[in-house]
Amino acid sequence: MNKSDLISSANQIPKIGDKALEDYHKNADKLIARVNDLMTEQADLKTLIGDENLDMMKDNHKNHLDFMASLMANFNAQVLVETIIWVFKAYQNHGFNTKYWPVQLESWKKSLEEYLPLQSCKEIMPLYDWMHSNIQHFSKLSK
Amino acid sequence: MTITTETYHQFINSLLLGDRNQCHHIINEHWEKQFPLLIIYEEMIKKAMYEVGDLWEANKISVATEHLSSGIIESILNDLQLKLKHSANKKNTVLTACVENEFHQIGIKMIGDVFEKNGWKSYFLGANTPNRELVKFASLIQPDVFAVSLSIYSHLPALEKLILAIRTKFPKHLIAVGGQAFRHGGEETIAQYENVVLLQDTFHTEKFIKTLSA
Repeated sequence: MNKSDLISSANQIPKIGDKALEDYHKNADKLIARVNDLMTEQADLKTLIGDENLDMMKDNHKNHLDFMASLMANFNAQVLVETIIWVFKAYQNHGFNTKYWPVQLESWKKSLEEYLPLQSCKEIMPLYDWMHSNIQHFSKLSK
Repeated sequence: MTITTETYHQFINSLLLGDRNQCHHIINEHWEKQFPLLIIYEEMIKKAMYEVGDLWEANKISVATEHLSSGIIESILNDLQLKLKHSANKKNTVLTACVENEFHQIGIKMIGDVFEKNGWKSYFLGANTPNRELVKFASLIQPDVFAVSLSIYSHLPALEKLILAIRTKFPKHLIAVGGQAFRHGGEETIAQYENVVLLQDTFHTEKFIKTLSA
């Protein structure tokens, strides 16, 4: 899948409603904290993020939430695809392993399930599923 | 007139080495040769800052080097700002700022200078300006135009909040927005607001100013 295929595919992700976005915002700190906890519990964390990258990983989780909230408010498939490619490239260049992305996204999905009301979680999950299912394409495009 | 590749390389290499004097020297030399300000901004300063960002992305420079480069560029901009011919009788004013939590202020600083160059008075509030404070200050100085910059796409909601805050006191004023945040999109967000225009670079900004002055 090339970049334009990914953009076309992202355009099929169902729109997220205002209530779900509000819940995502309202629970931002808890969601980020849970993802940080889940990631730091990983036995192979050093393999996933490299040496001395713990702060960078936590910054990424904060930036991730801010970006996703902006995107949910004003969805733009091109911005989504270009940004993921940029993030993959930048973080991998700083020592993050490609295996970090699936583990990170699974942590986000778990955190969403734990902290968001069921309906809001259901609305947001397809966006995370889409990112998760396209990790290998993003990895290729970021090389 | 255009900046040669060799000169640009000298500039970026000096910047990455933290050689402030050499960077100032290169810029001053071009200023004295009467290179247009916007060429210096676009082909030297902006290009160098984008390259610094790319080098960080590729893990070829550290955050410390990135900050060092930004510090040198800011000192150059302060120096150039003093060299600009200032008209004694400035009729129009622009209020320039970055949105809340936005810390990249070099771009908006250049935009303020482009207004100054065109005979405007510019009030530069800089990085991470709280909305309330910006509107309060604007009520004192009554600017003709607002110019706002953001470098990160996720700051778009902060921009929208700022637009709404400005609109409580200035319902029809022009708000010019720009910055790297719009590199891959975001125009559709801006298009929802009346009298909010997106300016891609300093050249577009100058054209925009001229339409206001015409």
